[in-house]
Amino acid sequence: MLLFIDALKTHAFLQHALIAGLLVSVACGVIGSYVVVKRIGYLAGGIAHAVLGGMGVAYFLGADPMNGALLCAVLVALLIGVVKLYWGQQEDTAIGALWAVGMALGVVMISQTPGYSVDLMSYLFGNILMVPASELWRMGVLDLCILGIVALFQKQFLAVAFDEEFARVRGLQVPFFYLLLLVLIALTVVLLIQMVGLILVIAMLTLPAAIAGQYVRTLGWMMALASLLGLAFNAAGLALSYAPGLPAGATIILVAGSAYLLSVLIRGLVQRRH
Amino acid sequence: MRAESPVLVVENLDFGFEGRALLESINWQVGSHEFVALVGPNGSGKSTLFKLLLGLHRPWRGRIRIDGRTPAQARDLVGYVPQFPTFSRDFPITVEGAVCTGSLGSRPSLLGFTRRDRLAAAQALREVGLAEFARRPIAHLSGGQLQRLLIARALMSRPRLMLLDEPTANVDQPGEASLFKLLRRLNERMAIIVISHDVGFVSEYVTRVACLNRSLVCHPAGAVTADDIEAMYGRPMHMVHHHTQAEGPH
Repeated sequence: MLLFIDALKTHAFLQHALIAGLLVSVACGVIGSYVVVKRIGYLAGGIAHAVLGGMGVAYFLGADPMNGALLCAVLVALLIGVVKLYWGQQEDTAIGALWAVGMALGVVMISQTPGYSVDLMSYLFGNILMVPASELWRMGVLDLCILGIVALFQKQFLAVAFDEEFARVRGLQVPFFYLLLLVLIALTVVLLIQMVGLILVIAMLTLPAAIAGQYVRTLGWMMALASLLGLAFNAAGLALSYAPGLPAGATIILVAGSAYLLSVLIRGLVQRRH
Repeated sequence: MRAESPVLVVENLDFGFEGRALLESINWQVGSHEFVALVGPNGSGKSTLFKLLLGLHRPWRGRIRIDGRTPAQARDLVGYVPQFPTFSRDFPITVEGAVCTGSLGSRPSLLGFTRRDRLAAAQALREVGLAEFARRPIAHLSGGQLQRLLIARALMSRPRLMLLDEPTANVDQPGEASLFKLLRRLNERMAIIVISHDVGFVSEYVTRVACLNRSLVCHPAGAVTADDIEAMYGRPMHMVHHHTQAEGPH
């Protein structure tokens, strides 16, 4: 741990990694809470995996893969949302299809890119230690967009997440706010890909919020606690992975997974006593 | 029935699904202080009629007016209490927060719930007898308390017409009587339509019984006979009289 703290003082890449972790944790805590209470983890997983298609196409065309990821995530989110809203029975099939087709398209496009040298593993499992300063700006802007929209429409999102049918009765534009929520999930997925990669996104999106949900009474507090937990898991994962040279993204997920397991066990024991 | 202006007017209403008619030639008026029971066999279109009144379906033919307005224009005038809570009981929200969601849609608003919303929620919770539960999570409520929460949420828009879909489906018998006493109190300032299968019980409280099975026939509360019920359900039925404390002091 001391080795990590010393390195943090001198290495800019570690400082960037920690700032990236902070930025991602806030978005994760807020949007992850909606994913958990609305039980749409599978949907978020579908968006995350399908994003590889957009990254592959962008890479093939010589564009920034993260821009491809952003565009693809939003498109897939809207597509899944429309299928859910208007062809409800087919939602699972649509998610599964987009999940697999997106990944397949990404792998094919990357394999066909002239001078193939991209590290596919960094897309799949992330590389938080390689986050450049320019990427931090993109993350900051995405974070602000997500938080701003959530703050503005917090009542509407609460109504759609809590009781969709009643929101319709009250005349709320449920399809609009549902699709907007999915777009925010897509933005958060793109934020997370840089850090933990698209395969592990779903863990960071759900685990901190799931733990927080066991201890708080309101969605607002769930978001706040989930953000703090996300930050703690990021910092702990980075510190633990540094000295032995473990992959940082995977270590962060292992820390979050262990904390979730521990929390479930503690809650179980406490409830059994009562 | 009191002589009063109708809050609900339904004229020549037809509606159905996928070309199959479910409701035909419905003509109905409900006075602004009436307490009406809507009864009928399963699949007779009771909940569908509610959804038409709420503006969630559009009639094939005919028109609906609530205080002179279309259902879409009259959303604030109609309170709705579903048969079952359509939300997860483990959702992280307090009783007060859940009731506040009833203020949504009344007017375009951004950011969080206002002090005015919270005061209105506190008033609604006092009215349904849940004031001391305001800060508790909804997971801590019993079935009867949850039903009262749904009523409090419906009161947030200050409705003139309250629609309740089998509000006592998950409530025991003492709870049932207590809930109907509450509805009778609310009836002093709004019209109430309650879907029920228990004609014997609700006739103690309501002013009229509307029998629905494709078409709608209204009877004064005390005048529904076993023959009326049998004709509506299409098979032999028995009327059961409940001995409740409905006649007691309120």
